[in-house]
Amino acid sequence: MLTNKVLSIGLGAAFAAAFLLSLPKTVEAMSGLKNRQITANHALEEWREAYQALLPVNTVWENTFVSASQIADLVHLYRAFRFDQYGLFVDPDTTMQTSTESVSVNGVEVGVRKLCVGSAGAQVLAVHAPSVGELRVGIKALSERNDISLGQMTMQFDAQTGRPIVNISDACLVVRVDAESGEI
Amino acid sequence: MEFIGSVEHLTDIIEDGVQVDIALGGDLVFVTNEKDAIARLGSDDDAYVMQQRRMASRGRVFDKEKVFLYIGLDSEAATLLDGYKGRIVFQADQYLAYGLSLKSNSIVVGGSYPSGVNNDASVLVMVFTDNALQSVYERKSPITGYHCELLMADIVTRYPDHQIHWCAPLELPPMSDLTTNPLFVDAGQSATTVRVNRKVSLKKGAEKEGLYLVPGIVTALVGFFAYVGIVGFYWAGIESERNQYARLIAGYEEAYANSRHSLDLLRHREYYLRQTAESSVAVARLEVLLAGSAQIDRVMINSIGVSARNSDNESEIMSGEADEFNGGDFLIDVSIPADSSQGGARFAGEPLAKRLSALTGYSVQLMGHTEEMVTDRGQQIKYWRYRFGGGF
Repeated sequence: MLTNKVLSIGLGAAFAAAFLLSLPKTVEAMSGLKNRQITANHALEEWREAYQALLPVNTVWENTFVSASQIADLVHLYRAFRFDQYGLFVDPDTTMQTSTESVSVNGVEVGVRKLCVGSAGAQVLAVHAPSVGELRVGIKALSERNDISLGQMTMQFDAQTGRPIVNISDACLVVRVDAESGEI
Repeated sequence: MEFIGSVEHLTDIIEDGVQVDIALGGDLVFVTNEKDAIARLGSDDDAYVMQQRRMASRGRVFDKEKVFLYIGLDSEAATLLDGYKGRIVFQADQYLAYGLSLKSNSIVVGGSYPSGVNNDASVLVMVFTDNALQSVYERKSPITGYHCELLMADIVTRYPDHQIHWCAPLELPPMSDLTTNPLFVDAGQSATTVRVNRKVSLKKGAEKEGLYLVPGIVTALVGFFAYVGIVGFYWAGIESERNQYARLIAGYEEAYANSRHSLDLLRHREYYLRQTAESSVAVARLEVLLAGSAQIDRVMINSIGVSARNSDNESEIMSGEADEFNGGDFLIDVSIPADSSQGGARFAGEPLAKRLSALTGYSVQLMGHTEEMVTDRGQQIKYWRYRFGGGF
């Protein structure tokens, strides 16, 4: 006959066995969970290394391009070109913004826009200088700026004054658009 | 320890108010190893308070045939003992423990004197065979040589190879065949030195076997804690990896939430920044074309244009329409004085294109030509005007 003691211990053992028998499945599930976490950690680590290596790009990026928010109007846009700093002359009274385009590299928008200007409503911006030499030096210095994009250039001479002119199509200032690109 | 075998003796102890340790036996206790006997006794009257049965074998926890010792306490004694502060044990428990501790088959003889040492003794005889209680005998007899031999004769005859352990408080019997038996052992106080503490039930019904919840719960908890321990171990591993993840992602949560886009964006930005400014390339080419054209003898440069297209740039940077010069990369518009000795503008243009190619390093083709009159120092001079195109 079963005594209460044996019965009690038996029930306790059955209870314990129920826990212990469920262990393999629990352990298997938890091992799977751990392995997935290890994989995720590995992926994150790789991503972080790559990301950290590329992070200085952001600093260069911000130092190179002014924020679009700083170019509130045409006056700010004109000033941002700093033509006079390079000995060039562009008539501010006839300068107008002609277009705005976002820049994408291999189909990815990189978070900059081109604000393009032209003279007298045309796509072409007329840039003057007192001499061919000064014009060449000025245009060269302007073209070396990473935040300036110049399109087709035609050097010629003014029919009346004989001054050298460079007509630049798509003369654009490249500006940062943080809000659209998303903070990274 | 006081050995008490009668209600009168117990009453004396209680009335004296002495809180001594007492061992109950004799008339106060009914002892048997027969389950039927104790069952009949329990159901017939209220003379006894049944005690919880005692396991009466050793090393047989899981044997099907279990041996138990059943004890009944006199109800009157139980009433008297209610509230008694001294320690209470049963003599039967002492002898049972002693008998089970013996390695050889034995007859343990003990008892008490209900009415004083010189009166009839209540003798309790337990027979142990193979580490289990086999029989129990309760007898009354004076402890004299003749009476002792009579008392034990049938038992000794039935178990001739069993040692006979004569225990206190029974006085040692006088010299007789029993005491001279080589199997006779004077156990003295051996059975009563170590007190066997068992619960003494003083009320009816208390003898019923407990539920033994504690062993059951302990067994269950062992399994549960083993489960928790192992699961906890694995969980700690997962937590460790999660903590590692938290450490790695700290400060990068937002960027990693859009990880692919973040990296792609940075890579494309890096690429975009690394590109030589196309504008400076175009200006450099304009310089080359200007310098090359200026070396043509007596040339008059009307205009020189270059596109901004950079054929070296493998990546596609889209920002509006591509520059075009009628399909070419540049356009040179120059005039030179007409020289009829060369056979006309058309014939003069070919060597001019070759000369420009040599001077600039670019592929230059003649695209068209016209004639024009140019005023130089008041003189009208005929010029041939050429348009050259080409590619870098």
